[in-house]
Amino acid sequence: MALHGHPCCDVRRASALTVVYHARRYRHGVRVVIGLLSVWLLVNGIGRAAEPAAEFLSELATRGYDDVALAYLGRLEKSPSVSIEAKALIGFQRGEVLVRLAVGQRVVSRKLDFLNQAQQSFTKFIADSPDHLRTPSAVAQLGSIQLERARTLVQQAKDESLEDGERADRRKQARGLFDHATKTFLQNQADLRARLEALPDKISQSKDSELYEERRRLRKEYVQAQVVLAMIPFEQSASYAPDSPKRRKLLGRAEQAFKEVSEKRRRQLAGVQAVYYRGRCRQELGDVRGALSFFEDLLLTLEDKEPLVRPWKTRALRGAMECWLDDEFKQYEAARQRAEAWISTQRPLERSDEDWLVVKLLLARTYLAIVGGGQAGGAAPELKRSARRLAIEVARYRGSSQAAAERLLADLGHAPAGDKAAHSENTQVAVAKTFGDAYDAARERLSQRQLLAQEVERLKLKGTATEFEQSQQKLTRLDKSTIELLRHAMALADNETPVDQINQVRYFLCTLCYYSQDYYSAVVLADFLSSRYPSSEEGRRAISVALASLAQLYDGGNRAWSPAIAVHMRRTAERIVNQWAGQPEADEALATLATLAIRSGEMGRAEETLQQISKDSPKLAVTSITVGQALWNQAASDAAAGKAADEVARLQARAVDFLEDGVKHAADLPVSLSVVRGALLVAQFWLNSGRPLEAIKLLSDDRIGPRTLADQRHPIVEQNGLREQVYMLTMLSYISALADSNDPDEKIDQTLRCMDQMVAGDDQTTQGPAQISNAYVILARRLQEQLKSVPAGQRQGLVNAFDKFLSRAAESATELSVLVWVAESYVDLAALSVEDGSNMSQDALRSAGSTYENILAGVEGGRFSMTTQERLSTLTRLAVVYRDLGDFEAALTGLASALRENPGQVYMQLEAARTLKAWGDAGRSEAYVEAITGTRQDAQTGKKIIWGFGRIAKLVAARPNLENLFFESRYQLSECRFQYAMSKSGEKRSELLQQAERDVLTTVRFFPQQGDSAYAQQFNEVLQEIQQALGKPLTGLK
Amino acid sequence: MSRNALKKNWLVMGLVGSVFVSMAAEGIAQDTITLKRRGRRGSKILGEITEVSRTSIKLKTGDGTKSISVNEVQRISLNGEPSGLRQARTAVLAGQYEQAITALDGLRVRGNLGGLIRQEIGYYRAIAEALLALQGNGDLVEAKTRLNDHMRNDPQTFHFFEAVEVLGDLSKAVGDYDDTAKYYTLIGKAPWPDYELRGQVLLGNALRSQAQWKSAILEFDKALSANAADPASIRQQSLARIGKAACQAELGEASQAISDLQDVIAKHDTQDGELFAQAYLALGAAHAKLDQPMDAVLAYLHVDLLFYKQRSAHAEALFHLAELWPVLEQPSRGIESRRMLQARYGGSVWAKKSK
Repeated sequence: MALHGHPCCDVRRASALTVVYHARRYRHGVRVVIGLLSVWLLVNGIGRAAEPAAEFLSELATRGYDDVALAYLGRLEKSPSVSIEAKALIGFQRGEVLVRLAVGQRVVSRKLDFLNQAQQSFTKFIADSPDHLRTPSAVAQLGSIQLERARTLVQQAKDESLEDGERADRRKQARGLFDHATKTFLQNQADLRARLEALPDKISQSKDSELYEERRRLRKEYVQAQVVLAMIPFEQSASYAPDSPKRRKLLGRAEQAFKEVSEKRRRQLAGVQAVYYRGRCRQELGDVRGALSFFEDLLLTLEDKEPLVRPWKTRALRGAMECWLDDEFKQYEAARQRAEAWISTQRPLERSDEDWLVVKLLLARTYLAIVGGGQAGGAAPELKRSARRLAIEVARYRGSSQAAAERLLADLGHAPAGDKAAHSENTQVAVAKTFGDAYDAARERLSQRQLLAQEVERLKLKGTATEFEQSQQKLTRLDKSTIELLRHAMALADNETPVDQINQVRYFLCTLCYYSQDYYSAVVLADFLSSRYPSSEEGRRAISVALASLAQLYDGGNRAWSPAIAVHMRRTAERIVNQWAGQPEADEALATLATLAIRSGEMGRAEETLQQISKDSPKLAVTSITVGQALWNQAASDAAAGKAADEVARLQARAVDFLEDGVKHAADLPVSLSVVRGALLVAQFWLNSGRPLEAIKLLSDDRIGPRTLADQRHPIVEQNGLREQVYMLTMLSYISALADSNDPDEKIDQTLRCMDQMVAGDDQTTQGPAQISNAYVILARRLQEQLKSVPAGQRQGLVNAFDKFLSRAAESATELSVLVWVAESYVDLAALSVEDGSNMSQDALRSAGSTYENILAGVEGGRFSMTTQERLSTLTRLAVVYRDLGDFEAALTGLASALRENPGQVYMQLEAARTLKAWGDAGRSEAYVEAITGTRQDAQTGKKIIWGFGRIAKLVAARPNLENLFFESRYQLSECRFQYAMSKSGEKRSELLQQAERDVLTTVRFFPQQGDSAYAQQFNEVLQEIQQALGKPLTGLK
Repeated sequence: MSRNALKKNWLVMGLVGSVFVSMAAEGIAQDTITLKRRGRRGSKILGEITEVSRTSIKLKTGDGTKSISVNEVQRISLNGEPSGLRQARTAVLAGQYEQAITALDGLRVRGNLGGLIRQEIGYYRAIAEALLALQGNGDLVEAKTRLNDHMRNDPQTFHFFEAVEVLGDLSKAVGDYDDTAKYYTLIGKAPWPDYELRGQVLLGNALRSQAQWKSAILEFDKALSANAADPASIRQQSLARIGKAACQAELGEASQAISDLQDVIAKHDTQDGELFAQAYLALGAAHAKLDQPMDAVLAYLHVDLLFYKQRSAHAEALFHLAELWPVLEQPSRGIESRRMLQARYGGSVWAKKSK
């Protein structure tokens, strides 16, 4: 071992023996001996000789080099020159470092990760060394980890973007952790008490300095545990609603616990802390007067010069000022005097302290309250100037007060004349003689910019074009002069200027250069900051500016210089990925790299890059969607290029995987165009894959659902022309879901509501009637397709929907083709209704008839143009509709009217004959005869306008291309004759039946080719019917 | 006795005590020799310096005349010395050479000052200028000439061996290897065993700075082969081990060097800042040779965070840290190290090298 043979060993050995002696002397058992031995080991094991680990770790912590400390501890573990005792402590030390790393971590997942690792370290340390001197500290650390987790959850529960249920869940989890931490600290307190009781009653500081020191430390830790146990209910109260009785109960309990501490430890720092928190408890309970009494107590009793109590005095003043400024008190003068007096004692190191900054901000508000209350008299301008100066000072420092100070500055507006830091745009640069002046003036400008930028945004949406343009010009002017001022500040910086303030100026400059579209300057500055000061706040923020500026210069790859910019972007992004591995900045850079890879067609690389993005990163969602979209587009172009279908399908499936993943991760993110587009693609895919319900669910998602957003008239949907697409997709999804729906009416209503939204929401009248009717047609066609695939008897819902959409389409349609389609669809619907045994067929037919009438009226009125053939065809269809409705007279009148002008229209003749036959079927037996021989004599020519089946057959018999028409006519003729015969009785019937038999046999004999036609069977059947009626054997055509 | 009477008595005793203290203060208006610390305590001997030589000082005390070996002396205060000399001495010991010169510049030398005081004033001016020049703030050759002149004027000064070491350092800094060897060898002529070893270590380090690794090892080996028994000699041998390990690392035996250096670190007390600073510098260099930047940074950080009072070593460590932090993707820390190097040691070779 390192200590053996060294002169120091004897001294240390003697010290160890002393410790053991004391342990024996006071008979406190083996445990105490081990504990006391560890005092010696702690002091000597990693103390003066060998590797000075404890001192080194302490210095690393002071510098904030916790990452290095972690690496160092890893090496210590393996180092042969480190004693076993020192190694035993490494787990504890690692835990401490990890806790510090967690506290300083802004990414919640990483914070929790560090806390988990720290917990493991402490747990292992406690298990390995239960009697070690630092074991109580390790237990306390475990409690602190639970508390930190609970705080994180309470913080998360404040996030208003979360669902109420989620927020309540986090608060519940937090409460569980607070309870757990309470148990841990109670255990810790008990252990510390036992250890303290095991120590000798009297310990000489000179003779047993280590033991003395240990007792001091144990006592300190005991008091700390006591304070933490009082703090827990105070912090836990934040997990309940402000007016909750449980919250009040917890605050009451906390105050009682603080009271006990303050009474027992009045002269100690813990006592001071406890009095302060008694005040805070009262403040939280709304007892401003009670709170003030505690804060004032501290203000009166605490020493000004004592460094350890100064922070508590500042905090007490902060609390007191909040009370004095409260509406209940309005003691502005008291607040002013106390704050001014205290601020005059401020020390340089206290300038950036958060409590001090808040006190200054409260003083600024006090000045304004005095002015506002009319108590300032002639001093009002000076008080306003003082308020401005204080706000500028607070705004200089990062922290929770900075934003409030900037808001206050912005509210204060332009500085009055005579204020050095805020002259007119033109004179400010000349006036600022020091970096500080220029910096302050620039900060003030930036606060104003924030307000102006908000105004520009507002006017963009709601103002007139002139107002918007004017405000934008104003903003541009402000940016230009602020850039000048910031450059002036940089020129005034010297060696004494704090680096972080210089970096802030650099950051402001690069941001303003970006806003001013001076992207090259923005890139240079942001690159410099992010590469040279990566661990600074500005360096970290500059990354976004660098990447955004490069993206602007890249301009979608459409510029001559884009390839060169892409190289720079890639290099920058790779540097960021290395520098901030696992952090949001790296994820942002990875997203950029993935986008670049997509742009250059390297899809494999894009996918690989995507895999590197942290699972909890908001960038993962957007990038997944981007990659998914790119793959989707590639699949589409592959399909267009004629690539194998299975290959295209595979690619599309991969695209959908990414899209689904992206959309899933986007659920907690702010809505963006990318997310909406991704959601639309996924919904489209689900719809196409027969998963309409899932598509509806996604489209109607409360947060990112495109339909929800379209209903809200969200700018992303409105400004990107997505509304029609969103509603169409939603409607198609509802329609597709009808077939399997238990509640088809609800789906139909939803669809129609979508259509109403789509039409009603359109202020810009981009949705012309043509597009609207087109939408109906698309939907109805989709329904029609579904109707075909659903068995009869199960499609009532679909039929209803189809009917509704047809009626909407008919109402809105202005195009002839649409109207024709509507009319035909009504006819189809009628046929389906007949099949289903529904009573809708008559209505459908009537609708079809009125649509055809509309069409023909339009043709007559010149609204539509039709060829003669088209017009005749339409007339024929209308006649058929009348026929199906049983209005034979109307049908025949229409047909006759058309045939009078165009008698040679053989198909029209056929329909007319069929109509007559149908009339016969309907009971007017004479119509059978007319169906055979024709009717409606032309008054001028004396010829029959409607020919009948007989004449039709004769005329087409010699035309092979009309063979089917011939057989149809002959068959119908036989059928008419048979039916007519059956309508008679006796001889007449027999005669007519025989004639019918001859007709069939003649046809068969003279036209043997009928044997190959579709009518052969029908001829056979009608012949058998005739034979049966004649009482002959049913030989048929044999 | 009543409570008030007791209070009064204590008051009287307090007044008597303060008179006594005041008389004692008058009484120490003599020459004072502060001895180097042994263990945790130093000690002072008061008397009248009657004779000085390169190796000893004779002091007439109430107990008779004592001969004190120069290598045991920490500092000397002379009866009647001006406060400016005292300030200059304190400043030199604290490494604040510019302040020392300022203090000496402000001196009004009266005619009745003793010879020893005048010699002390001359010595502290020459040594402060020399050390300042070694930090890069002054002309090295001129500083060497002045110190040499002073030594010629006061050849028996008890500062002799200190001054010789500085002359060796100055010679090394101006690249005069013959003079360097001469002066460092002269240190070895002192009657104390550790001085011989110190001369060898210094010479080894001079050769090391010229990248003469093998020759340097020979010098370090000479020190290591000596039969050292006293703590001061053992310490010099440890410094020789450090120097040798650093050379070995340069000759491709970095792993062995690291092992040796860790051994030296393990066996010494961290109170010895100079030794530890040298050990960690060598350790950092060896790790850098093995392309282990994090280990190198850890070694140099020991100097930066714990042994920063070793100014020259601190400057060197900051230089290396400025170079290494960017390798570990921590450029801002590198900038901070460079900033500190320029701010604190702006005139040093390391700061100049870093520009």
